[in-house]
Amino acid sequence: MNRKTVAPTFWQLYADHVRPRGSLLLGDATLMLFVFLPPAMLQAGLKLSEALGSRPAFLNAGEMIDGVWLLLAVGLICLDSTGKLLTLSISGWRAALQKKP
Amino acid sequence: MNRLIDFFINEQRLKWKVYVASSGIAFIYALVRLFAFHGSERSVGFEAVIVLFVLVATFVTVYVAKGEAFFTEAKRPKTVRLGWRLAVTGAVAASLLVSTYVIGISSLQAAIIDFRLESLATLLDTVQAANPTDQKLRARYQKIQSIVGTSSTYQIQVDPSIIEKTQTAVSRSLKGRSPSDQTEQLGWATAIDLQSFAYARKVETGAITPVTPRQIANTGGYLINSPVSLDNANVLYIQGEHSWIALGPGGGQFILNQSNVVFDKIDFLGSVSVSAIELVGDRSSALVRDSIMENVTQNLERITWVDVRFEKSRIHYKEGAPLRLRNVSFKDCDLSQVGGFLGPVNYELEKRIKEAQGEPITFIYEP
Repeated sequence: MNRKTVAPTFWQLYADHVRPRGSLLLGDATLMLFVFLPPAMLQAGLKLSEALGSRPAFLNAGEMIDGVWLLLAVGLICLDSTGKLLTLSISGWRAALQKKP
Repeated sequence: MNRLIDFFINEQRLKWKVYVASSGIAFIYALVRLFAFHGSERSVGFEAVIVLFVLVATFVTVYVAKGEAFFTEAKRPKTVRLGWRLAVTGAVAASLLVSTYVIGISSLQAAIIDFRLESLATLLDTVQAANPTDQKLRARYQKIQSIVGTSSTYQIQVDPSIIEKTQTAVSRSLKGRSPSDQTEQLGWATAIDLQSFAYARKVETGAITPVTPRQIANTGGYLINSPVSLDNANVLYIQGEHSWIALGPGGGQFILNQSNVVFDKIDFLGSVSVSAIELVGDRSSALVRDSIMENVTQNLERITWVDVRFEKSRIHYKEGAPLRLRNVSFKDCDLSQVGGFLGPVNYELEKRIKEAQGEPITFIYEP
């Protein structure tokens, strides 16, 4: 009778890492805040400038910078999350498969 | 594979340095493309993300191949703790982000606009007594126009009562004095802009319930073959999406009897010789905005026209009556009933329409 390979659970995939999971997630969430903070503040500043009657050219330039920044921030977060999940999943699978029953 | 895991999980400092450097280069690339080469925002954004991905991939590949990247420092302990400095800064950042939502930027914007309009209205009331120069008065009107334009474009939730108060202040500042023709025109145009904006805000806040296109007709248009009389309506706001009302040969027209009616984005197609919109009684008023009047007969007096296009229409104006045209264009219109033989305002109206050659004009006469 062939022995079936049992798939590791989600937590088993992350169990062997040096950083505690909570710290890893909290640390990255904090860094993500820094990524999103400048465009959020810029957007708020632009809205207030609109009300104060700033020139449309200035507002337009601000909107463009804000848009590019936000796009890069989203791209970075996607890239980081994808890389992290991919490498962790692969290493988790490898570790799980190497364990002898 | 182990180095790849190290990069994403353990080498936090290196990873974020790579991210910051890559993002910085991609951001500078985007700024140069946007402002030096005037690229479109969409394509530049796409290109910047591609640049970011390529740079990060390059750094990761170098690190995986060599075991070090350009930013690699001396070996540090792999365990990264969430230090108190990072936690405090993160908490401040989070509270700043949350506060922008709690306070509400739009309400802050509205508060600023309300304050600016109110102070300008007060200033106009004050300068009424102080008798300011023509130039100063014009600067105030221009500022109000700019505020109204910005608020309207960005849909800032300005208080309608403050808009009306400012409109009253503008109208009052023009009465009882004789500013230059240019300033007077600018002042009345500002008053019209304020009136139009106040109606729009009242609809947005629900103070006025508009009659929607679906209520006009399911097909997007409506034919009226006999006069429609609107009696004693305080404010009736008929709002469409360039929904058309065809005025049939049986005498189709709107008769406003002691009523205030706004036609917003309603187009009129006419085939009758009576005026499409007729005001009866001293208390009647109408504001037509963002509309096309095609092949109609229309008396212009006492109605406020904002962003309206008359095409192949017969135009009438009763000399000496209030005339309010704000960005109104006349294309292939019959002006035989408008002319200098009827009086100076008719003369000026005919002259401006002809000079504009189909382009929008602003011309206001308040007796």
